Amino acid sequence: MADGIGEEMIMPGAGFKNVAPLVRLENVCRTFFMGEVEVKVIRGVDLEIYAGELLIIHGESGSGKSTLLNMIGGIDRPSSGIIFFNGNELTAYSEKELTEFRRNQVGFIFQFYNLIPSLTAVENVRVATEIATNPMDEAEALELVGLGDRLDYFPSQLSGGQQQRVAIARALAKRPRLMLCDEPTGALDHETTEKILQLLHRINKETETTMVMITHSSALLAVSDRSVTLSDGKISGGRHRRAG
Amino acid sequence: MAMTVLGRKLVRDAAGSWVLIVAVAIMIAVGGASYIAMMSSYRNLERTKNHFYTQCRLADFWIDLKKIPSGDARRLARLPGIAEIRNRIQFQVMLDFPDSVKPVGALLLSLPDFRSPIVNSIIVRKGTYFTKEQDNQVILSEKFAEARNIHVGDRVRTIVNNQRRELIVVGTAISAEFVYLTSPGSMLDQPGSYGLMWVKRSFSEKILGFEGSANSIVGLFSGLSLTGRQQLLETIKREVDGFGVFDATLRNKQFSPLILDAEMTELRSMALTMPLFFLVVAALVLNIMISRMVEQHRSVIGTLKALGYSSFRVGMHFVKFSVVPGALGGVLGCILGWVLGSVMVEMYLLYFSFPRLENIIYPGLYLAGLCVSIGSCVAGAMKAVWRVVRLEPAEAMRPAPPPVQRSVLVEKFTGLWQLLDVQWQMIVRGVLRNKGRTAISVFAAATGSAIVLLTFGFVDSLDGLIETQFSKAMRSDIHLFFGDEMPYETLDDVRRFPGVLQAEPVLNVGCSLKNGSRKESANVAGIRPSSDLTTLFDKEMREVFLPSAGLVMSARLMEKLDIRPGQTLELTPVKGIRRTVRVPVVQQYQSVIGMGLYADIHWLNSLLKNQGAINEVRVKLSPDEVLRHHFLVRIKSLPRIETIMDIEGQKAAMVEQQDRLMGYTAILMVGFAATIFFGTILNTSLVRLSELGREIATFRTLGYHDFEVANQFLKENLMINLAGTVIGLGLGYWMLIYTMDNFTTDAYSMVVYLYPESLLYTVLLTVLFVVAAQLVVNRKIKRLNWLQALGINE
Repeated sequence: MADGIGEEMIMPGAGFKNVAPLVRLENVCRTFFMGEVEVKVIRGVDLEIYAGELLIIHGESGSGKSTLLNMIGGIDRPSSGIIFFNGNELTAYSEKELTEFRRNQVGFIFQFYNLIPSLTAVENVRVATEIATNPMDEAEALELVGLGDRLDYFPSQLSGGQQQRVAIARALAKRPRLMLCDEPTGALDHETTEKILQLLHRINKETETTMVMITHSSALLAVSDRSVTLSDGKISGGRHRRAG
Repeated sequence: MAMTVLGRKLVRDAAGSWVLIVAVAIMIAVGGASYIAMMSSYRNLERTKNHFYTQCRLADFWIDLKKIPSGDARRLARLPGIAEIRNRIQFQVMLDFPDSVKPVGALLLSLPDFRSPIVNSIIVRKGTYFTKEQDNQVILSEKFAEARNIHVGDRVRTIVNNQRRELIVVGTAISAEFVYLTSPGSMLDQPGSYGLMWVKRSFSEKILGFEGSANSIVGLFSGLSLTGRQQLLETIKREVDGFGVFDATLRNKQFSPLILDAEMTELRSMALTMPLFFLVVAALVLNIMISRMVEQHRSVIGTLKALGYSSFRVGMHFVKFSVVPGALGGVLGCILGWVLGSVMVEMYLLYFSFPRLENIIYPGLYLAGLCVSIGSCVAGAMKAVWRVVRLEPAEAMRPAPPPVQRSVLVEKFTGLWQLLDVQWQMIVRGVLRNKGRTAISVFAAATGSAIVLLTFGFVDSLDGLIETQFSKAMRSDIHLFFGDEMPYETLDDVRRFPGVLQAEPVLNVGCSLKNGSRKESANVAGIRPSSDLTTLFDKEMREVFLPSAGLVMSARLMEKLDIRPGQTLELTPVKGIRRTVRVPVVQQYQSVIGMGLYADIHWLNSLLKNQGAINEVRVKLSPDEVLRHHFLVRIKSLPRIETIMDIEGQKAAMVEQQDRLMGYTAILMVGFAATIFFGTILNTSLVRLSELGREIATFRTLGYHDFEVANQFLKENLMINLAGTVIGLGLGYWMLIYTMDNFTTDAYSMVVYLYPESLLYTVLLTVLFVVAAQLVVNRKIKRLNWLQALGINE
């Protein structure tokens, strides 16, 4: 199918057409109050995310990408609108249910890795596996990201790319249904960026984990299933690459 | 069970901030230790006291009389409410030691010839109870025998009833009646110069002319409330009124139990208040520390929450962190508390005579100390932990918004503000913007300096007491007490002795005083109106002049009788013609020992219809050692002398006690205060250092030396701590007044003295503490990695 921009283009790829979405956002808004100033960061977003797909979100700085991702991952709540996960209304979850949701369904990968400095690589992964219901072995997860020989290194002893690999292993190890990556290569050089993105792409394909990623990388855009563009808190366009 | 990964994080984070944790832990340890040491000492004393009192069957009441036939005394047992009555003989006697020129006195007490379970019995420590062999056997009080190096089998010479007697020592003993023993009119125990001598009843009757009679009644009540006891004591007094009652006291007013109870009450109130200062400061400092930690761990908190950790669990992680200094301090406090408790036991054994006093480990108490230590740390961390719980993960992921920077009040005074250089402007802004932290630092400095000032004030007050009592109020060296009233000519006899510079007459009259429903017993000392050797002062240290008629009364007694100068009361002498008269109370004075009363000797004599009687002579001696020696040898031959009070010896004992005990206590207390200063300064400085990392790096790259940067911290700490110290001086003075008030009993009155030097020393110590803590801060500044600080990403 040809690339293009238009309303119809943000529909899911043909491969996902007949499946119920894993995540569905209905008219989601998010407003922040900074002192007396009211800032509308997300202004009515409708979006469906399908199991197994790799969805890219891009947009200008301040367009609300991270806020949207945070709401999908249950670490922030919309000011209005509804989010469904697997048919359940996420926005109606209690604090406890949201915690359970994050614990068992979601894996986060952040721009600045957010590793705990006082823990080694394997321990940083264990932070996630210790509370997950069906995690993989920490060493195995680190092996998967190519850090099988760096298990006992502290973050300060690892390069940026290696630290992000630990973060990926941490997200991956609990076998989440949804992986959310917030500019995972934003702090990395070009070469490392390539490697990390390849790794994430491989994980998406091999584990069939649904992946939503904020990135400016054109390389990944090329291999993603679909992309949406966010501008000024609204989805202004998108495209999908793969046909079923 | 394997440690969770968050547990490991906790251990490593704690190891990374060990300086801060140890600083807080030491404050906690001091608080916990003082609680455990004082509370366990209290319990040790209580336990020993109860056991000792029961073992010796300590009396519930004491009645001193002139002379009563034993049969009449025994009849009192028929009164309802009385369980047991014992009559005995007691006399003040002098001892004659060839190796001691200084006068040595003792209280001679009779005991049954054969051992029986009596009220106020003794516990024999060495040797035996009396045997059948000799009449003149004596059992000495243990401390006295030890101090004078007297052993079983030795002989001691006494002057009893104007006759020299030689007594054979058969044993040493202690008695619950005399846990604390001082010579009459003295504040301190001087074991070598005053003791107890127990002799056979038959022997004492013979040598004192008391065949079939006694002059002391002790007994036990059967049950009864305090009011019931007071009423029954009044009934007993009426029953024996014809035998010349000098004094009648319940156990709670008897000297030794009174002193012991007062000490215990004071100890308990200190145990409950003093640790609070340390625990509160530690909790507040920990609050600063954990708050900063939460700021630094913002993204970690967010990550953990994003990973699916509940807010409760993340919050608990920080709670556990606060438990580290709490538990460390608690355990240290238990150990230190035990050590201090042992020291206190040793100290109490110096002053009190107990069969044994051990530093017992009370598991409940130690556990309570540990729980309070941990609890105060957790409480201190709660505010910061609450922030952790409430922090939304998405919000935590974003860097903290820069603090709202507004100009501080001082900046409005442009002229003044311009006078400050940039560094001072930064300091003033920092101090005024972090109001909470500044307030905590000021509070800590106030607490620390208050403890220092309290300690110095305590030393000053004891100094002042010694100075006032012995250099200003009582300028005599020796007081001679006579068993009976003597003619005025006795004064001339004393004046003729070698070495006497001045001798003044005194007439002591034991009296019952009554003002409305209030009753007290006290001694009225009649002195010469313009006495050179005895001066009375009021609370403000102004001299009080003796009126030609009426009484000058101690403040404490006035309070007890609820009477004011200008009012009159009923006075009944307990000796001689016991005629009740109404007399005016003219003025108040500040007494140190007992609840005294003074009057003009001539007025007192006329009141009693006496012809110039005296029963005490106060003497000022020549500084010439030879003349003094002659005087002391000669007075032993003076007839009818009952007791000799060695004022110089008392002063020396007070000074020694002051040096020995207060020296250590002061060092310990200043050390305790130092932990507050150190703990607070280190914590706030290091927290500030981590906040100002980038500013400091900027200063360094601009070419500032590390000492110039460090100076900024020094200036800030000095500013805050000196401000706190100013408040602390006031707080400490208030605490001093409160403490002295607590120490004041019917037996002693403490007056607050505070020399200006002490204020200066407190301020200087603050500066010293700040500078010392600064050395650690300087080291940290030197080691700071500038480049990293400049490149911090968050």
